[in-house]
Amino acid sequence: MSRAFAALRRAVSTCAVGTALLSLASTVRADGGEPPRADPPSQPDTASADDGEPKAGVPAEAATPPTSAPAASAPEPSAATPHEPPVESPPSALELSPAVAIDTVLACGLRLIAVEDQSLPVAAIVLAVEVGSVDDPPELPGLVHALAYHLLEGNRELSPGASIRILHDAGGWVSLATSTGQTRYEALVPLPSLDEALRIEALRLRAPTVSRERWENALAWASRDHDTPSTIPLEALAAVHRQAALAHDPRAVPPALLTLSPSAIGQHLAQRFRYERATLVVVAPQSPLATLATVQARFADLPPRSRPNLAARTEASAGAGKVGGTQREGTAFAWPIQGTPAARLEARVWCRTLNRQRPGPTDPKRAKVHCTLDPDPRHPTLVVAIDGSDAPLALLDARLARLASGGDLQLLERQREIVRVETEMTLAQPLPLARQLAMAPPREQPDDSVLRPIDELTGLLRLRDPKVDLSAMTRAFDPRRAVELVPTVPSKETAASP
Amino acid sequence: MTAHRRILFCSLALALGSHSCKRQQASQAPAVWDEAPSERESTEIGELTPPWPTPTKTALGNGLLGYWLYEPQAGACHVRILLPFDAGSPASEVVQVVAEAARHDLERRLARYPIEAITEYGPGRVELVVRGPNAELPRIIAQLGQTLGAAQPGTGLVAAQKRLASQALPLESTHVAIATLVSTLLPDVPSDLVSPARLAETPKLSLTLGWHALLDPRRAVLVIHAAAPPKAAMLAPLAERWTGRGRPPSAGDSAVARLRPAPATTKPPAQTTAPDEASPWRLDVAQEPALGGATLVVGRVVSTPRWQDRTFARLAQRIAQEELDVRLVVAGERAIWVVVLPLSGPDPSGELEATLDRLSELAQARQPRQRLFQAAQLWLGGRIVQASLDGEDWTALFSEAVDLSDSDREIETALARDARSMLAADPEQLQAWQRAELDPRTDRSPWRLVLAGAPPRVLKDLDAITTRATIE
Repeated sequence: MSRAFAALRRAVSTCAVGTALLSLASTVRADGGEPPRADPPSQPDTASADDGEPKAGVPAEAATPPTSAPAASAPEPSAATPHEPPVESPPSALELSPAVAIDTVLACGLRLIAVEDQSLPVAAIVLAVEVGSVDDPPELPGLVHALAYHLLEGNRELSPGASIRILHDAGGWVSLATSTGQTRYEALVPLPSLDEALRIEALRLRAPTVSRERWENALAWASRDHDTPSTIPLEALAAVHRQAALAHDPRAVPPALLTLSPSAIGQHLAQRFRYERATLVVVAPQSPLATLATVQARFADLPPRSRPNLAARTEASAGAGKVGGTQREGTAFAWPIQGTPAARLEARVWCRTLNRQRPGPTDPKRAKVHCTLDPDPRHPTLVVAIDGSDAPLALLDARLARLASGGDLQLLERQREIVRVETEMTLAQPLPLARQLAMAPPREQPDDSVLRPIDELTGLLRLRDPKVDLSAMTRAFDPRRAVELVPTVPSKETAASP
Repeated sequence: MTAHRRILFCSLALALGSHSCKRQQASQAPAVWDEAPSERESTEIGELTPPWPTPTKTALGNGLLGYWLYEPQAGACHVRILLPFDAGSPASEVVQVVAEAARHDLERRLARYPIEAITEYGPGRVELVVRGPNAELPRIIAQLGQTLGAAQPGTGLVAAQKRLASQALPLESTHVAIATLVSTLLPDVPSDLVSPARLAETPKLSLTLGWHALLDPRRAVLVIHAAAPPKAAMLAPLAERWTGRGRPPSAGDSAVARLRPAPATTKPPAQTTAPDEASPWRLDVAQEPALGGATLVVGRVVSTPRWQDRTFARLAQRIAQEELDVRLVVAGERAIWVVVLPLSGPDPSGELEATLDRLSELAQARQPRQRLFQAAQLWLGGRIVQASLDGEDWTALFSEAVDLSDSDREIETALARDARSMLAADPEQLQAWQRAELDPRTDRSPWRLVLAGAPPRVLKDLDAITTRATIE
């Protein structure tokens, strides 16, 4: 860590000093106070998704022009709050190391992660709200998915579709990603549009305009997402994570959703989509201090809120037993993975290693082990399928025991190295880095610092540790604590037998 | 005041009041956003270019021309080999097989490492791109030398041919129509229309000859983007193992000359006929099987010898794209302006006439400055955002910069100059350029129509306004 970083860390060792730093940092860039402006005419395009995680498409067209309608009970923006003028010049010594992120919680409860990336003049902005299909009421499956779309329908400051159109007009790219526990609004924009993108995120969750017309519009877009986001059957997912709320189709659009009244929609929005449940990630070719100052100014008019404890949403609690519903033959075992970037990376290493292990001396010749990782941000699941063996549990036991005893340590280390290098290359780009940071859990023990190594947030720190923790893997993948996935369709052998 | 007088007074007041509220003058003219963008806006948008330093240029012993873009913070290294080829030599099918064979061989050699190899195509060149960790750059370069310098690539070529033939699907009608239009208007520009049937039938000897013709380091250009500073020693394996055969080509040590050969001196046959009242539009019908329904493309060659012309062409395309599906195919100092018209309605002739009318109106119109600025902003912003989404590969932007340059000295600054000139475009100059180049109603030089994937009904309908030819 650089000396400047150490000095800055000392300087912000308490919340109070940290707050002082934030106001000091606001002098770096104090141009974020312009009032909302009218949207330019444009032809919005269709957004796309490009990572392994299932994404919802973004409406390709703006809907109707803004109309007056009842507003949800989320906090409203105060009218044209002027931002504080610069008070003093920042000391030039406060240069952050490129390996360090600002990770702080604003007074309004929003968590901000700001990182510098200088490669190209573009900025990635991700607003991740800790709400997903697991938060759907039992009688309204698919509600959160539809609400996520509704937030594209605008409010008093943004006309329907404007959050997409404004950024598209500047050459930007936008996307909406929904999952079991997190909803993300993602954008990659040219640097001059960063301030506009931050303005949109500062408005997005405020008093969304609710009307029947806009809700029908949102449901129409939501109904176009047909793919099931999970790679394993939903019942199995619910059993693996011991959460019954994961068993329903997260993208369903049942008739009950259509009959919701505007006030009910507004209440659901206000309960779930709140800034104190959200993390804003900004990766841009400017100092994180400058980003912090701009964001702070944009959110300054929101009332103070305390942030709920969301740590439990990332924990993994293993289930056990048998669940039907798989369409494949053979037996499979599934384990929950902790919903953090580090745990997902570690699981990827184990998965790659299992897929590359040599057969044991007693393994049947046709036996095959195939491991896959469902990369949901908050409920990742590791599935190991065993084919060609009459005793799949024993075979898996033997493979895992060989790994735990260090018999395949070289293979494991090699896969660790490959995952580390691949991840480093991927996270060298602003958008994938911003996505990964949006999944980073807050620090377990608050130490009053706003600075954190980026590698710690992305999970790379664990992979850089040369010591492989075999016992952790053994604990995590005890076959007797796995959920066994049983096929619903009879296998050929069973069907042929009398 | 009596009640009667009060009513009279109120009526008078209302009458006077309503009279005074009446609009006495005509309404104001609608606001025209014709002011130039602010200097700050222009400066910010104009800086949407990669912050690359002056690339280190090197000519290797095998004739390969190399450019090294050094970025200390680069998260990955990119190695791009740009391989130009002439029309018909080798054939498009051969080019695709050779490029796939090279890509596959390279990926096989580097399979143990997190490295990926892809191929990208453009008019007259194919590009082999390798992306991997910075630490593996020496290995990538060494293996590139092994792959590209292979003397007997026969087995790999046949395997690549089989692989491509088995994966080949009927092409989309839009792709078929545009590729046919390009080869009709610019016969000297290699076509990217690869027929699955011809691909499967290409003899092994043609593939082997094509391998040596395409993979000639004396015509190729190497671009490296890495966190490591340029090192001549690192390139030595590539220079030693990869050598050209036969007579040296005359491209010289200029990347622009190698990748943007001058157009053929003979005029293509398409430019010898002109549409007028007596000779209606010529319609070519592509015979290649195509998916996706009937698609008609209308296009013409746009002369873009100067970088200003290229700027105008891009701006005009961006503006027209708001209403029509307009593409721009750039081939050296020429470009083809293409309007794509999916024919789904019952009246193809009417759809075509309406499109031509709208195109003519757009070509004649003067665009306000703010609209030009929005178009430039979208173009320049989209370019840099796409580069980031594609992996922050500076070599891809460098390849684009070559197309925007007139000489090697300009490559480094070509993107910045392109951005500045787009932002400074003058509405009157653009209007004059559009009138000269893009108006299908007044233009005397030829426009061509190509139809793909069309049922006979569409052909019959279009016969009324066109003459027909068949393109094999």
